[in-house]
Amino acid sequence: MSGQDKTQTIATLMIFLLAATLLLTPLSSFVLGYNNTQQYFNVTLTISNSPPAIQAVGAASDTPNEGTTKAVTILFNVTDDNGFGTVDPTLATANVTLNGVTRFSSSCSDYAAWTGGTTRGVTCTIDMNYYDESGLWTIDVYAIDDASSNATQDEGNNLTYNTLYAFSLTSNSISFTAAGAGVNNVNASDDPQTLNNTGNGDFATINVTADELTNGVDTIGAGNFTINSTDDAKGIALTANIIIPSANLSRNTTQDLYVWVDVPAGISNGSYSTNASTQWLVEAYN
Amino acid sequence: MVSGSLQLKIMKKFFFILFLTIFLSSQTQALGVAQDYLKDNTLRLLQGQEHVLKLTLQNPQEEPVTVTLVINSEIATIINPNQTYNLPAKSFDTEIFLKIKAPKDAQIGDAHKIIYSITPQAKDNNGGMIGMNMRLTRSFDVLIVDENGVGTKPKKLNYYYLSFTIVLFFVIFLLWKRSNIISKKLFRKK
Repeated sequence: MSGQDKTQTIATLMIFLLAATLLLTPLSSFVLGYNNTQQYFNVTLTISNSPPAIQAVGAASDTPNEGTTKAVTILFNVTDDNGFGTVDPTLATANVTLNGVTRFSSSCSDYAAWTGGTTRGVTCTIDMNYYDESGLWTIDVYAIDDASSNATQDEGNNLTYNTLYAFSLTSNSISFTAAGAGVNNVNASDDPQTLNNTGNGDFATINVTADELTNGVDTIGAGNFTINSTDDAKGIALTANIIIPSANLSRNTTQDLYVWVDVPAGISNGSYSTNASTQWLVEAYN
Repeated sequence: MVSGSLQLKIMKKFFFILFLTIFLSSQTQALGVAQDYLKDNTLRLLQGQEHVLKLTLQNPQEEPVTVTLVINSEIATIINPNQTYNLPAKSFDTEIFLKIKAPKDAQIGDAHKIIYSITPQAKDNNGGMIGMNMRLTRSFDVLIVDENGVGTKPKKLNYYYLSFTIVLFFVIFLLWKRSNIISKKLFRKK
């Protein structure tokens, strides 16, 4: 073997030994046990908060209750990849808006039927007034998770608030105190008779149908009575079914009615009243 | 000194007491009917289409009330009608259904009016006192529309305006011709 061959052989051998050493040393540590070589390192994994998202909003149509409020329900889903438990339904809100008027939810809570996994179902209650306008109210909802990330949805969802046509009369009687025969312009003692719109629909006209009064001997014709929407003039005679001028009962309004009588001359004294089967009729017409 | 009979006459003449009692205890009356929301107070139907409309009667009073419902329409009827309807005290959910059917031969743009009235039963007369009753009357329109929801009648040719327009153009044409002739003459002279 020449000298060069020898050198080459030695170099090869050295390289081989070095490689083997590098390879076998950790391998031997593993085989012989951790006591030979141990390394510790920390592992840190940060999971960022996933913001909530509102998926679906729904509300059935609803109808006002005459003269009072109506609790309307708004339902919606909130999804959060961190789990439904991160969304507190009591911190959610809902409101409805129509023509610049907004009604806000009084409370929100969990809607169990829709809650599970990454979804929180929420139900909110809004108290609508009887006089709130009928139509399509735009729904806005809001939810927040425990990392203070929030979600809103304010497009494309409506609450249909139906129309209620309703009114009330302050009393079912009109009285006239002492009046002599032949005396004119006698006011009703308990004027005005007030009509109150207790719904959210408008009434364009108010009609009154009167009947004659009798004491069994004489009569006071319906035409002797007059009615007006103000107390500054006698108004028109109740000769037939009369539409009272300038009287209407729009949403959230009242209308007063004033009644006068011209007592005919020459009639007998006594107590006069309408027939038992006949009553005066106040009609509100839409 | 005034005689007794004269005194009596004076009393009768000046101290007639005429009680005109027209009604009962001063008790508030109230009545309401709710209806599905109708945009523009109009129900839009296709030719021959049927629709069921729900009415909800409400009685917010402390006492029950009995009412009658009368409907005035050639295309609407009450489903399972009753002579009267009993509304319990403080009730807001007595439902009545109207069946509305658009005529099959109706034209697009035709309108039908439906009117209904609700009247409480008159209360008994108590010793000469008489009740004042109330009535609630509602009306809404049914409009016949096409598949796109449009209810506008196709415009018909107005022959009056067409004739007027033709005559007007003819007059303008004659005036122009005449003016042209006159101006040519004027220039020719010059």
